Amino acid sequence: MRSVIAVLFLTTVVAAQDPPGVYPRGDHILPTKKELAADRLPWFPSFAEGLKTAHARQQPLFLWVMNGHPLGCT
Amino acid sequence: MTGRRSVFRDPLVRGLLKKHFTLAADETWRLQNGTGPECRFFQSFAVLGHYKGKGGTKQGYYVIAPSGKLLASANTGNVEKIVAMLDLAKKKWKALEPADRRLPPGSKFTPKHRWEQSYPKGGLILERFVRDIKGGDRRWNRDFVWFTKDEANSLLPGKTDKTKKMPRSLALRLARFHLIDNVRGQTLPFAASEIVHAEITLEKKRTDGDLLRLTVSGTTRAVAKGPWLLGKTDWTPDRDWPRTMNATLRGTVSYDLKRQRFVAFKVIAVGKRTGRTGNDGRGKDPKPGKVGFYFRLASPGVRIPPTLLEFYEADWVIRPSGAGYGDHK
Repeated sequence: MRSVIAVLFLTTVVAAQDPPGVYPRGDHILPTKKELAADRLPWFPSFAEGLKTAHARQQPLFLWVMNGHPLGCT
Repeated sequence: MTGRRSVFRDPLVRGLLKKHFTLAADETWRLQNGTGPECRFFQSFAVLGHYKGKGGTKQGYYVIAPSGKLLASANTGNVEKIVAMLDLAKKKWKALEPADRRLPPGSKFTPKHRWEQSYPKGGLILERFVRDIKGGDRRWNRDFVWFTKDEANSLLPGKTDKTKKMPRSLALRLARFHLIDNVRGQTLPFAASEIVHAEITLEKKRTDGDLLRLTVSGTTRAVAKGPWLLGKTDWTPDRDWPRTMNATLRGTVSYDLKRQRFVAFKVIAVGKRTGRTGNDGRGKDPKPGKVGFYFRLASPGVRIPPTLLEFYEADWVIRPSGAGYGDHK
C-alpha cells in the first residue's frame, strides 16, 4: 500500500510539473546525447574565426556550412 | 539535417576531426551570396567542391588549407565517406607547399557585420529545442533566444508583487520568432499583427537564500492568414503561407538575486500547429499536429544568434548598414 501511495505521490508531483499533453519532464523534446554529438567538438562559430585559427595552428580547416547555422536552427 | 549531423556520432570521425583539423561551422547563405572578403574567399573554393559551379546550395563539409586551397569536400551523412574525405584531406595537406598552408598575404577576413555583434552580454541567453510530440520521425531543431540584461530583469515581479506579466514586447518575441514550427527546417516568423494573443506570467513561489524561484505559465496564439506582412527581406516568400500556432507554456525558473541573473530555466511549451511554409519540411505531411518546445539556459559562451534576430523589434540589435540582410558587401 505504501508503495502504491508513493507511486501516486510521485506521479502527481511529476504531472504537476508538466504542461498538459506533454510527456513527463519534456525529455522527449530534448535531443539525446547522441543527437548532440556535434556539440562535443570544439567548433569555431564562424568561417573567419576558424580560418585565422587554422592559419595560426598550421592545420587544415574543416568547415561545416548549412542553410542556417549548423549549431543553431537549420 | 539529422542525417548529416549524425556523422558526428561516430567516435572515429570525432577523433580524426579533433586531432588533425581546426573546426568551424557557419551559415552558408551569407557566405555563398555575400560580397565581403570572407564570402568571396568561401566562394572561390566552394565552386570547386561537391556542388560544382555557381548557383545552387553550397551546404556541406569542406576541408581547406588556410590559403583557400580545397583539399576535399562532401555533403553526406555516410560515415565511411566522411572518413575517406578526411583521409584524402590529410594526404593533400601533407603534400602542400608551406605557402599553401598559410593565409594569403595581406588577407583580412573580418566581416563588417555579423548578427553575433548584437550578442547581449550579461543577458538571458536561452537554447530552444523543438520536436514533434506525436508521430514524426524524431527530427528536432534548435535555436537561440536573446534577451538583454534589462529585458531579463523586466520579467521579474516587483518586490511586493507576487506575479508579473511578461512585457508584451518580449511575449511577442517568443510568439513571433520562437514558438514557430521549425522542427524540420527553417520557417517564417509571424508579424506582430498576427499574434492574436500572447500572455505569459511569472509567479514567485519561494526564496531559498539568494535564489528566487518562480513558475512560468501562459498561452500564445498566432494566426497568419497567408500574405507576408514583414516587407521586403531575404525571407520574403513568393506565395501565401497560411498557418497557425497555439502554444501553452509552463515551467520553472530560478533567479539569483545577488548575481542578478537567471541561473535555472526550464520552460516547456506544447504547440498546436496548422499549415506550413515553403522550407519547413511539412510539404509531404501538412496535417495539423503538435510540437513540443523546450527552453533552457544556453551553455556559457555560446553566441549563435537567433535565426530570426533581424526581425526582433529591439534597438540593441545591430543591423547591417545599407539595405537589409543582403548587405554583406
